[in-house]
Amino acid sequence: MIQRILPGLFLSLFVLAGQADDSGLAEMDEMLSAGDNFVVAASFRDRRRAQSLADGLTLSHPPVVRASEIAGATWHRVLVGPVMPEEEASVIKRLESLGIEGGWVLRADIEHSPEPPNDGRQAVDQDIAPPLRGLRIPGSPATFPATSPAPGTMESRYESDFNPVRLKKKSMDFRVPGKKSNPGRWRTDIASEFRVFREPGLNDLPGFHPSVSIRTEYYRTWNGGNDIFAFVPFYRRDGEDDERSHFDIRELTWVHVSDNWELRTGIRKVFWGVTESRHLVDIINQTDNVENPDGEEKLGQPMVNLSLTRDWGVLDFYLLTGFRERNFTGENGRPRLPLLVDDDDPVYESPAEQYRTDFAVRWTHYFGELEVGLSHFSGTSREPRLLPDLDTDEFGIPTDGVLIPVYDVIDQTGLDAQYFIGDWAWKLEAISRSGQGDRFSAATFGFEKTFVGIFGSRGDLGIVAEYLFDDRGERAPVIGEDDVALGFRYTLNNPADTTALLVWLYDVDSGEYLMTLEASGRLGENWKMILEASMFNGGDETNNDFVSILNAFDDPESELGLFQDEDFLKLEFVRYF
Amino acid sequence: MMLKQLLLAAILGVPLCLSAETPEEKGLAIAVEADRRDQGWVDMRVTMSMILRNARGDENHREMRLRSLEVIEDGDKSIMVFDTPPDVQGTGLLTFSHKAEDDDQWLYLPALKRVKRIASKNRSGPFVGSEFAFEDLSSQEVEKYTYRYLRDEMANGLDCFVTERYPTDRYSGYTRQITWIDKGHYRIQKVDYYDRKDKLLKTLTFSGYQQYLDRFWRADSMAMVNHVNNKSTELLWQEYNFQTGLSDRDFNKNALKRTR
Repeated sequence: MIQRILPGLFLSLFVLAGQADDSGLAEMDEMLSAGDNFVVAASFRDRRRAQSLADGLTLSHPPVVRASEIAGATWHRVLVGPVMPEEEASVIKRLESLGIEGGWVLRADIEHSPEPPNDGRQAVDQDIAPPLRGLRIPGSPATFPATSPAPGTMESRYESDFNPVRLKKKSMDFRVPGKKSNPGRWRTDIASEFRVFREPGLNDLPGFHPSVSIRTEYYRTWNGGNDIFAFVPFYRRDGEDDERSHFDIRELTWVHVSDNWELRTGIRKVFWGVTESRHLVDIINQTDNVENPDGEEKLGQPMVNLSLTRDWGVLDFYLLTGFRERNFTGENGRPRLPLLVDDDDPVYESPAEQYRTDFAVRWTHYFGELEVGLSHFSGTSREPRLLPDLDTDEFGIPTDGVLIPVYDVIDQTGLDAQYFIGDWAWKLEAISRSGQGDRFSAATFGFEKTFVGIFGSRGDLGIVAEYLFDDRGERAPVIGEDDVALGFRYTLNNPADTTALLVWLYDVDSGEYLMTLEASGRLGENWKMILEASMFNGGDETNNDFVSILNAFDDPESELGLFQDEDFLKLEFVRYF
Repeated sequence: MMLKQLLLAAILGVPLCLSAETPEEKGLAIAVEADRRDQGWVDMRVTMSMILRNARGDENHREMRLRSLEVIEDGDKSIMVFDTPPDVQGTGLLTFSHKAEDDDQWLYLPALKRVKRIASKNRSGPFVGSEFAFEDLSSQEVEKYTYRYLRDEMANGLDCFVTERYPTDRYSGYTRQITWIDKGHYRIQKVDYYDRKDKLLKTLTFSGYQQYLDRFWRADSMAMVNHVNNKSTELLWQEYNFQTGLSDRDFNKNALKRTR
């Protein structure tokens, strides 16, 4: 073999160029010397087409046609050169000016191919075909088999793709300066939701609640991705509850990104924390309570947020310009307390009411397997106290009444941490709050352990165990003063991304418990089905007279008793556009 | 016997030092050389289409964008973001791979605006329902395995080194992998994965290698076939862009949250 006696420099070029046909080989030997590079203008199966292109080009380096063996087929390349490295760009440019885009450099580069091939087969290297970038149809298996295509397919694909006219349309610059901007796109999803309540409840309410919602997202970036704009409006129309029919701007935001800081302005959503059963530390956004009683849905919060990224972590400053009131279900809304919350006339501690500007700061960092967040919030509490406002009869006995939300100004310091040991994740959230009566503390801590491929299946089972504590004890207006949460998350790892989460929250003192199930999976590419169920159990049954209801409301042993008859099942279908 | 070998070596011109190399040394040398040849790409952007096929031939599709940053002294950094299916659009995965320790990985859930860290042990599980495990798609640093050269063999029509490698990660889902690396350009052509019971579980085949910046070889297609359940996943890579000006600031939790 001629290759065996050639110096390695030349050999490398042959590896790249493929095995030229015999007549071409000798010419190539003479033509090429160490380090010589050629610009490949185009490649053709048909030699005559290659020749006619070469003949038609007027260049300082007269083009030549050379045959190469690629994947068992002979290709005729139109080569321009030899060119010096500094000439390459100008030759490619010159070709472009003649309407031939996608010229690439065939390089005799010793560094990348130092070894002589072991045998002649080396040269039959299918991968040295001209670059095929941007010329394919995604997701079409017929065009892209994993193995080498049949000769027929290959030929037709190359025939059509490698004429200069087509190449012109599909630029092949693979060294893109800067970053790309997104010129803007809309995405919409529409969901229909059906909720069924098992019992009419204390207020004798309808059991079937249908509802529809729409969420749209507009997103665009400019300035090479350093400026981002997003707009996300949301609207729900509920068949039963006027209070649940609501509109919200989830996001209307401009983000400017710089080297080690980001400025985020507008209506946004922020999440802080690590635990699963309760989100103590998370405080920036108001809960969209009518959307879902589990507190996971949030209302958009207006803010200016400066985020600094440093070696010692991420430091965020928040200026929260304006307050969002918590929404509550109306007369026919469910699940609801037997006493209606009158959110038309809330009480604010701050004279500025909902126009008070609040502040928050948060630092997060990680040290190997330990993640830490430290935060402070100073402003109007997102969580109102609910005070009864009663009508009484002539004997002073309450006959009717509503609950009035009271928004105190609070200071809350929060800590969240997460530590991983193998497949164990240990989690902690703790807060200390002043401003709502005496200063108090609360914490949630526990672990999540995941069994990957449980019982030899593809699925993962995650077990969550958390303890919820509040040092106000029975005076705490919320669930979680001395509770245990146990959760099972099963992920099927199937193409439909089916998951199910079962959570059991048990109040150690009162024996009450709450069970929730959440399961979801995709149907086809554009539909998703979500199933949710909530079951309230334990606690004392409440008689359906106003005094009993009031007593139950005041009873520290009964957090869930009032929800006894509010068990429900929710089925939601989401269509993505 | 010895004399005969010497004589043979002299006749064939084979340097003796080669035979002194142990299979372990040779296996490592191949991995180091492959790694050395792929140094200097700085950063990369690419889009991926994933086609999941079950035994009946039903298909599921996913589209993703990947950007990565080369980190010479440690493992590479990357962010992968989903474009489809639409219910997971904007979901992102940030990975800091490390040579010696376990990789750090965070998942961003756009609906909740929540960044969740993924425990390193969970990376042996399937990636988005595909036949690829998280660990199959992580940066393949030399230090993540120990090696043993087995033999020379043809694969994908190319003369290859066949090397066995053993994951150093104690949480890996594999006991060993057999790799075929072509001698011409040190590109990985094929990988056989053996599960914890040392049974052949999957085969990954690379095809359509193309050279970028006259230097870096990247495959257009990676096809993973599961021999146990007869499912397969094909990963098609498109629009490779190198040296696009990415830096550390594009690879942190803030960057993960803003990419959608």
